[in-house]
Amino acid sequence: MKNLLVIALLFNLVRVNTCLTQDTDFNKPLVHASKESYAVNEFAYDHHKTVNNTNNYLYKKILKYPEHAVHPELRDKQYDRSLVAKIFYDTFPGSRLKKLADENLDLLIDFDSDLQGNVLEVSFVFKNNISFTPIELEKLEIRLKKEVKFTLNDKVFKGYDYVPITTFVNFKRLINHTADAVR
Amino acid sequence: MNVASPPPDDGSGDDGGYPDPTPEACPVDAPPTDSLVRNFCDSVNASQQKEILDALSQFKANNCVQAGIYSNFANNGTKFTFCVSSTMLTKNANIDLATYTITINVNTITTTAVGEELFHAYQNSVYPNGTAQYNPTGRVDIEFEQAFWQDIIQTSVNAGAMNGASQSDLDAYKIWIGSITNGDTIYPRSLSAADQTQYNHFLYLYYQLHPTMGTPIYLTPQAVFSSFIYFGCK
Repeated sequence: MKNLLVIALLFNLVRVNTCLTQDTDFNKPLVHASKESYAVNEFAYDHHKTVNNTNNYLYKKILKYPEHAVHPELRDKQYDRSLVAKIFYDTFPGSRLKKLADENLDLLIDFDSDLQGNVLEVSFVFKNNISFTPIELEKLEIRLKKEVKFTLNDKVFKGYDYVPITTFVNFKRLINHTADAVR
Repeated sequence: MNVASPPPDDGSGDDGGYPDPTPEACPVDAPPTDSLVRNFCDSVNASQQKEILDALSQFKANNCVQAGIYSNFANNGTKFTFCVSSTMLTKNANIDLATYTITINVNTITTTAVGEELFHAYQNSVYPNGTAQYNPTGRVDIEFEQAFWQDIIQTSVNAGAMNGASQSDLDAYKIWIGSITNGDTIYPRSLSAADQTQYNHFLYLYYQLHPTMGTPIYLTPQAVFSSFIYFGCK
């Protein structure tokens, strides 16, 4: 009985510590959200940073293009942009969306998809001064991985190991509901 | 097969509903064509001809810039011979600028492949004395300019010029294209000094990805700007 109590106490301590170590910004190399952890890399170009789930690995690879791969066109990798926009509207309450819109910057999302169009990994790239929190990006990541599906041109992507697809999301355009908010 | 003979003409002008005994020649299916097609090589079969024609139709329908380049060639009477090859080892297509013959890999007859070569022809018309002078020295500049052009007109998310680069280089390139196009809303008509430096940086990365093209000589991408200015595209 005493052992059980000790175990329960330790379990609670771990839980409390986990909660305490949840980070509120991306200002260090490794940050923790509620369940996931993220590696943060300062980006050489124009004061950006890249945020990757620590389980991601494809972004570290250099994609090998099959012989005679043609440059894919946008229509070769289609997806429902309105769904991506909806995920953002659901994730960011109106006031929060407005604050991000005031910062008027793009969020770049790198998807890696399998050849069936299922999302394997999601990476985020944004300017250092955008005030995303790890919890926000965790929510986004979970839903984007679960809900977004790509329609890929089989002919163009034949022989690929996986397919990289990039999306830009502009918060100012999101709040104005313009068609190119997700592009 | 027995065919009923028409009755003798009674002079009334009424032929009794029989078909005209001397009809005009039946129309035969004319070979499909396009304003930019001079002809096809003999080796291009009907199905491949259709693929090439579809690619040309798509090219001119894609956007203002491509439509402009297409119309420019059409209005000038510039025509191309289209061939296919099943033995191209390293490229999807190429163009002989002396004869304007475009040869496409039989497995990659796409709008992009055709469009790349049409842009090379356009470059040839923009650069004083043509672009043949940049082969081999400067070839990488010409090829990168073409890839850069594709990435602008297709929007910054495509980044084909950086195929094979590291994720951070890919992302930097996409962000930079987004920056010079104001979030894919304008076509740049020039580059600031800082952006020209950035262009040269990505040109060098492109060279590292394609070292067989030779070292860059850092040409200004004048055909890109010309295509954005000359056709009045926003």
